[in-house]
Amino acid sequence: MIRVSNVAKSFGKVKAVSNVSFEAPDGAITGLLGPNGAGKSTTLRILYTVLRPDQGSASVDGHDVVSASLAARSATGALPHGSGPYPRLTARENVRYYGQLNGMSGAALERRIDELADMLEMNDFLERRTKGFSQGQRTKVALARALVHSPRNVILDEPTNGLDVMATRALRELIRKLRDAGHCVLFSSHVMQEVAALCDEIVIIGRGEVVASGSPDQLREQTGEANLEDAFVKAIGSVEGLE
Amino acid sequence: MSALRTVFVKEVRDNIRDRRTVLSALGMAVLAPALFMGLMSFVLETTVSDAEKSITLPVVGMERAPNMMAFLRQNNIDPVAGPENPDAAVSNRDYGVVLVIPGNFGESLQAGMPAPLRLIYDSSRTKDSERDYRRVRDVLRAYNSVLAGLRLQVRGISPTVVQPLAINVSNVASPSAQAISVLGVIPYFVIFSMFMGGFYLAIDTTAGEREQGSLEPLLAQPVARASLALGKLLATALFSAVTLLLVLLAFSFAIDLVPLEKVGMSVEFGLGKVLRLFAMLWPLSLLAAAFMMVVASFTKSFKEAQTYLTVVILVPTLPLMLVAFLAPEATATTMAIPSFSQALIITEGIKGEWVSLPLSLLSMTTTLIVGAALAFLAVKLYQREGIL
Repeated sequence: MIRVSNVAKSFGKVKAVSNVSFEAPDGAITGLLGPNGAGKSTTLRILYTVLRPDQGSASVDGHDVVSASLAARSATGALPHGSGPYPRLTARENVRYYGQLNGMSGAALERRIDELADMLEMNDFLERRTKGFSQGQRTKVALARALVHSPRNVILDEPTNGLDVMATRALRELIRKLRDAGHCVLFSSHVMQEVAALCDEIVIIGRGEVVASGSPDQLREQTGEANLEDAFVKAIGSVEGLE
Repeated sequence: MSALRTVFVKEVRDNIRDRRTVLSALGMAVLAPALFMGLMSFVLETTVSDAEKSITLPVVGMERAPNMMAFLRQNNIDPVAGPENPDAAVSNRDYGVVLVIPGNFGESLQAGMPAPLRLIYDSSRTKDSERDYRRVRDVLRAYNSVLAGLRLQVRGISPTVVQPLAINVSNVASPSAQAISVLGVIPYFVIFSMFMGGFYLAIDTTAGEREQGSLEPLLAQPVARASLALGKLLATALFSAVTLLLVLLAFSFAIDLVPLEKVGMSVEFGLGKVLRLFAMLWPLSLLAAAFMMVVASFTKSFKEAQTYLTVVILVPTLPLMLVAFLAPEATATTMAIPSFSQALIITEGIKGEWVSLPLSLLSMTTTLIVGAALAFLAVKLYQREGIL
C-alpha cells in the first residue's frame, strides 16, 4: 500500500513535481501515466527514498519515506529507470548481493534466487557474468534483484523500455502474477497501450500534477471519451497546452 | 555492520575480476622497481666510468712523440697504434677518438714552432666519444703547459708569468652520493603506487556505478548510506594497501639486483624492513582511498572521474620528487604532513636510519585524522541527493 499526499519537489528553479497525491492499493496494479518530463520518475524516486520531498508526505505500508526511510525501503522492491547489473558479477551474484543487503543469507537466500530464476526464466544465464547481456536479460536480473526480499510493494520505473515484444509480454505476465499474489504494484509508463492493457488504476500526471485518476472506465467516463487514448489526451492536453 | 561487510566483500570480489584494477596494482609493483633499477644502473655506470678510468687511444705516428706518449700513459690514457685512414675510421665509428701526429711534428717542436697535432672525433656520436675526446684534449693541453713552462724556464722566466689564474675544480659528488639521490625517488614511486592501487576502485564504486545504472537501485536498499560509502572506501583502501605491500616487496627484490657495492654502498632492504615500513605506511592507504572517493563523487562519468583523478593525485605525490633533492629533516612539522611524512619514513628507512618512534606515530596519527575527515566528507557526499 503506497500513499502519496501533496508531494512537491524542485531541482533548483525547475519544479519537477508540484502537487501529486494518489494511493496505490495492495492487490492492484497502479499505472503512473504521463508524457516525458511530467514528474513520474521524480515521484517514484521519492517513494523509493533516493529523493526527499520538499513538501507533502508519502508512505509505504504506513512507513514514512523520510522519517522511517529504512523501513519504507525494506517494504519496497524498486526497479529504477535504466538500472543495470554489475557486469563483472554473475546474474546470481548480483541477486545474492541485494539479498544480503536485505539481511538474507545462506540456503534460504539461494532458494529464493532459484525461485526467482524459475519465475523470470533466467536459468540459462543465471551463472554467467552479466557483461554483454541483452536488455531483456539485464532487466530480468534487475527485477530479480528488486524482488529478492519478497517486498510487498513493487515500484517499476518504465520497466518495458528497450524490451522486445516477447520480453514485454513476459514482464506483463509477471506483473499480473505479483498483483494476484497480493502485491501492490506501481509502475510508470508513457505508453498508453501498455497502461491500458495492464492497470487496474491509472494516475495521469502532467507538469508535476495529477490531472486525472481512476480505473480505465472511470477515466473514460470523467472525460466523456469512449477511447482511453482520447481520454488521456484530453486530460493531459489542458495542462500541456495542446488544445 | 553486516551491510558494511557485504558491501566490502562485494567490491573486493567485483574488482579482483577487473583487469584494469589488477593491472594497475601489479603494474606499479613491476614497473616502478624496473624503472628504478634502470635509473640506478645508468647512474652507477656513468659515475664509475667518469672516475679516472683508463682509456685506449689510437695514435697515428706514435714513434714521432715518445715523451708525449709517456705523458699520456701517466694520465691513464693508453696509446696504441692507430689506423691507416684515421678520418674514415672515426666516421665509420671504428674508433671514438684518434690522435694523428704528423711527420713534421718533431721538427717543428725542435724549431720552437707550434707543433701540429690532429685530434679526430665525431660530435654526433654518443656521449662516450665526446667524453673520451675531452679527456684526451685536456691531457694534451696539460702537456702543452708543461712544455711551455720548460721553454720559459730555459729562457730564465718563471712559468707562473703565463699562469695568471690557478683554477682548481673539485667535484664533490661521489658515486655513492649520486646513488643516494636515485634511492631518493623510491618514496615517490611507493606513494604514487598507493594511490594507483585504489585508483580504479575509487572511480568504479562511485562514478562508474552511477554510469552503469547500479547506484540508484543500490541506494534504494534498506542500508544506511554511510555503510555503503564506508564499505566501498575500505575496499579501495585494501587494494591500496595490498599494492603498497607488493611494491615494497618488489623494491626489496630490485635493490638486491643493483650492484650498489660497486660504489661502496650497501643497502639492506629485506623482508623485515618491508614489514616495518608497511606497518608505518598503511594509514596513507585510508587517506588515499577517501581522498580519491571524495574527488570521484563530484564527477558524473567514469571518463570524467579518470581525467580529474589523474590530475588530482599529482597534488599529494608530485612534491615528493623534491624529497629526493631537498633531503628535508624529520621534524614535528614535516612529520605531521600526510604523504610527505611517509616519504621521509621511506627515505630514512632505506638508509637504515629510522625516523624516531614518536615522530613515526605522529605521522600515522595525523594521516589517520586527515583520512577520517576525508572519509567523513565522502560519506556526506554519498548522502546528498546529487550523488545520483
